Amino acid sequence: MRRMKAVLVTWILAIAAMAILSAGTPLADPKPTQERSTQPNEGTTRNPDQLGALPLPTKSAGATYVGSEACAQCHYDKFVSYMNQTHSHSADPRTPGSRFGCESCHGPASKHVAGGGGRNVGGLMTFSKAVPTSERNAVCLLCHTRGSTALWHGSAHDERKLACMDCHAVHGGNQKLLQQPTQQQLCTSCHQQIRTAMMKTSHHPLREEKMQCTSCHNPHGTQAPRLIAANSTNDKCVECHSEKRGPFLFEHPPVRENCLNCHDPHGSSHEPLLVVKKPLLCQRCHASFSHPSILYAPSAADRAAGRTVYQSFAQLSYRSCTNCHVNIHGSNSPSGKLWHR
Amino acid sequence: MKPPYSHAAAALVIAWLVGSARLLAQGQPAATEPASAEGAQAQASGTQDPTQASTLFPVWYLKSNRNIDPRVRPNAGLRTPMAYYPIANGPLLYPTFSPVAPDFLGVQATMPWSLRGSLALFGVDDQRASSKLQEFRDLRDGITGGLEAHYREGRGTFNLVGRELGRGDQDLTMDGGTAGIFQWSMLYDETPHNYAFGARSLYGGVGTNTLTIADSIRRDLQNSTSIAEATAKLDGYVSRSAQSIDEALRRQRVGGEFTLVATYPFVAKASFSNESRDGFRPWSGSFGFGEYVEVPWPVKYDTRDLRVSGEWAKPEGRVYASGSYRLSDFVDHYASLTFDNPLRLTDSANPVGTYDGGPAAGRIALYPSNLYHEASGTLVVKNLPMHATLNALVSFGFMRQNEPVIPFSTNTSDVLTSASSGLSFNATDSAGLPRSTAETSMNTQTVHAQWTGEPFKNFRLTGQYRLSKLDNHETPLTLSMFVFEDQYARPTDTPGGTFRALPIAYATHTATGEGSYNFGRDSRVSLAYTFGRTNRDFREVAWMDDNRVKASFDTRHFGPVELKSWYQFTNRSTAPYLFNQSSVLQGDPLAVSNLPYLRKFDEAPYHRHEAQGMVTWHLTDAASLSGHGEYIATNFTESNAGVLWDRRKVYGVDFSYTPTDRVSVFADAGFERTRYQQASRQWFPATFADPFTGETGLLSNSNWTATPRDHYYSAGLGIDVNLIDQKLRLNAQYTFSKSAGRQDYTSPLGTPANDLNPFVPLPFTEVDNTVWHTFNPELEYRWSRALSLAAGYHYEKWSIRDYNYRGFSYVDAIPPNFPFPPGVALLMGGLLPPGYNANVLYVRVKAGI
Repeated sequence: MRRMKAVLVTWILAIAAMAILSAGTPLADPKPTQERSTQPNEGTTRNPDQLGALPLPTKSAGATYVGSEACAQCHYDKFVSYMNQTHSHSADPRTPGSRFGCESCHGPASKHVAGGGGRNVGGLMTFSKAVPTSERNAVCLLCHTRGSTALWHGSAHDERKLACMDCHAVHGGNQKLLQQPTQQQLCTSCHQQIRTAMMKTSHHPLREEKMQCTSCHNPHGTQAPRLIAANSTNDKCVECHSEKRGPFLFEHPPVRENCLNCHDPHGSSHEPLLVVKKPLLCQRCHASFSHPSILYAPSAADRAAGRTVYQSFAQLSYRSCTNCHVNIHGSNSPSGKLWHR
Repeated sequence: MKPPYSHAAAALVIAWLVGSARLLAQGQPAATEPASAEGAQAQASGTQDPTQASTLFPVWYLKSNRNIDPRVRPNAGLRTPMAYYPIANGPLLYPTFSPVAPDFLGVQATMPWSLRGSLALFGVDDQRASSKLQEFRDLRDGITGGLEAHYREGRGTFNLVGRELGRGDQDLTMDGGTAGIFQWSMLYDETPHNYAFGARSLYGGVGTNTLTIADSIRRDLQNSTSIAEATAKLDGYVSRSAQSIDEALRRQRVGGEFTLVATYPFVAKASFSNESRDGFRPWSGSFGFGEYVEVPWPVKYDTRDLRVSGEWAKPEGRVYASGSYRLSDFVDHYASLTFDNPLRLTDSANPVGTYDGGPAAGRIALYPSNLYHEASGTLVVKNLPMHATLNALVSFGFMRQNEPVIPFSTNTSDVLTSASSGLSFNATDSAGLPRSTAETSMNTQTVHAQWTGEPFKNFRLTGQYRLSKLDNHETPLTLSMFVFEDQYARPTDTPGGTFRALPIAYATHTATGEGSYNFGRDSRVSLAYTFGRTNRDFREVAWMDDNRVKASFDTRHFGPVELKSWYQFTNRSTAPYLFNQSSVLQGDPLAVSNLPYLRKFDEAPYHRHEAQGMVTWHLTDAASLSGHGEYIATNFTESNAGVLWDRRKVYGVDFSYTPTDRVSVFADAGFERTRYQQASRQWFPATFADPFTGETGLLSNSNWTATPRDHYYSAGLGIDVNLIDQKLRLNAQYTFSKSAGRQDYTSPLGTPANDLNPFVPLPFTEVDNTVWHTFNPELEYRWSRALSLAAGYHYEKWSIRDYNYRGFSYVDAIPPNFPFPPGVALLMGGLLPPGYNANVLYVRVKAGI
């Protein structure tokens, strides 16, 4: 039944793709120029009051809007890159394309055009590093005020004066307009210790690109510590590891409070993502009588006897404590007080 | 269940071929290469009237370059210099726009279609060399494909991207919509998790929740007269009869999302996903001290997630408001796992913990199905006085789990059913349980409020309050005893006492104030103070206070050099530590408790210093060098046992250089060292080492300390060369990582009369020591923008040295260890993937329209 469902889903997806590819909808035919309606936002002069001009932080006081076609004459490569992404989609009222095109971000360009163009002519917003971060970000934040960017102001990256352009390349980025092809490459350019962590033996599938940084974090700001995109670390972990959400009849308190008490999600050499190899991990907290408190270390006699089989200590070898305490995240058995069952 | 790889691959390839054929048959003009941007600029320099249609601009067409190639090399974070991809020749962009060219271009609209496919043929010399090679991927001989399709017509859009099609790690995303009206997306993703290839198991029923061993084997072993005899027999059966199994899970996720934009500035969104996990993972079960078996733990999970949300905000407005509801329903199709005891055919009433005692089978409660509801609301108000923003969040979560409770035990022997054991009911009968379902319930509350403003020029102030609370509403569960590993009934140490499941709960309040001052050009200094108070129920400390001070300094003032740095100090103090709190609260105050000097590290007072710095030097426009360092030191100030201190140091450098537009080099190296110390005492009740009745002070020959440390090394090198401009490209990447772990021990040396560990402990020198190399050169020839052929070689080597691997055997006799009876372990080897050397050759053709 489950296989049937999977097969059905696969074919539905494929048929949808086929249907669209083979759709009777005619391909776009070239139309004579004069038949195309002139979109109000691509005219030569527009009334800012009618189209809701945003208070751009530019130095071009008194300038007027000239239209993106003027920009394209000299900056054709930039224009093409703009047209190749979401910002240009004029039918979407949320986009610069639906307002003033290029000038939505760079400011009204009449003085720049009248001055013959050139660097620093006409008071346009250039987004170069010479412009203070706050001024550059202010342009993006005029529109990106919702969804994942709603909490930018006061967030960790904002406080550290990270510019939008430090991560995004509006005129030449990849999906999501990132400066790098993947988040792994982008984020670790600053968080370089995570690059080392990703390469450890026990790891989340980040380097296999089955997960990415935003699987857990929202770099634009969150209301949780460490830019975790959930109410808490545990809430984020159980989104994927929902079997550990419980609640259980018998809880293991440090598990309920914070998964990071025992695990390092960025990578570890100790399976599975443990900060310390067992039994030492468990012996950090448990030193009651008998086996939790035993010193599990080799002796000279062991060495002399050529002992290499540490399996002889059930509490040391293999899964160590969880050889027996198997339901360590919590147990739903009435005999699960010590997480054996 | 194996996914229908062939179905997916076949369907998508057919779809692509049909679409391509139709387009070709219609004789649409192919997209032509654009004329150079310089030509356009020359044409337009100062003389064109921007209001007039022009035929002088190059043809502008839809293009995209999502990465649809098969994943071969690990994504080690090595950077690709974006400047290396000139925009005019193919930006790595994701188009989501209408293809209708603006009027002024005066050119024909491009095709509304863009199609690209990638087919790769792989040869892997030993794809089953190790489960570690295939841990989260499906790298094997054969063909795999990638597909990318985009469609635009008017306001309509459709995009499809698929990767590793036909493989166990394939994924497919589709999205589209009508601009300004709605958007939709769908996702299908498979992620394998391979634990072990060729594990050996005597169990039948692998993959189900009932694991059996042949009665004949168990009868023979039950008749053994000694541990040695049982071990030898079991060893023989494993050699002759064990089956070889591959332990693996597969995640399959299907999801979709719909966003209504037509009501902008109000936007509503709904999403749904179903994630199935199937397979089995290596796990354990036990039958008393020292006897444990490695079992294939069945996994058959479904997690269904539903979210609906609405948000309202206008760009020029001051207010953003959102509300959301989320439902997460986790279903485990197996409530419990029953697994045969290899040494018993019948339940035994033999003494506790002997190898020949215990049940014929054990039963473990598996993860219970559960339900989670969450409702949240967020409000952001901008442009307040002093350029301030206020944001607030309120969120409520409800976790529920009410699965049937399994009986105490499977053991029907007299010791568990007779009144003499103290049990007044049959432990194998669920009718004797205090309740038939779990009745567990937890609620969470999160409140967050933050104000950020600039009361003075260049001075920013932030104030934040956060509450994170967990309330436990579990129906109290009180038991007079429980059954220990299906072997024996265990009452409380306190006569007439009870075992009570503790309803863990906590509340954490955090308040932060931060002031920062900007000076110069992009320079900033800040100081922050945080106070946190955590109140806990039913743990060793009733409250914990964290006082934290953080200072940071960032600057881009020094020309091409950027500096980011911060330092933080945390002082944690706690309520008096009650080491026997859990025993008292559970109704068993006479239970022998934990070592009274031990502070659990998550409840122990400490001082923590943390510092981090990164310097980036932009040597030239084409080269940059950066170095980073991190240091964390924690001293547990009142701990005489448990974790005493820990240290962590991280260093690294990375370098990128693009001397010309045809050559780019990137390299990085990192080092990490973690080290800590923990202490304990080996003791038994009523011995000299007993901290309650014997050596009640801190000193004892039975004390011991452990100082584990881990070193990690990583390095990467990448080079990209356009051997023939726009035609022949060489790309190569090498990565290296190494971990070296060690555990050192110390203990005072006494005699057996005054020392429970009268030997000099030696270190473990091989603790998860691994080395990993990958090398992947690739040569790509591009006939045109639409067609390219690549050939590549990938080498990967991984090795491990760890004390668990040394002398491993599937059956082990566990000798008597202190008062523990001897036992036998039956293992599968599911946790010990071997090292490997893998060689992969591949050719890849990529074509598009």
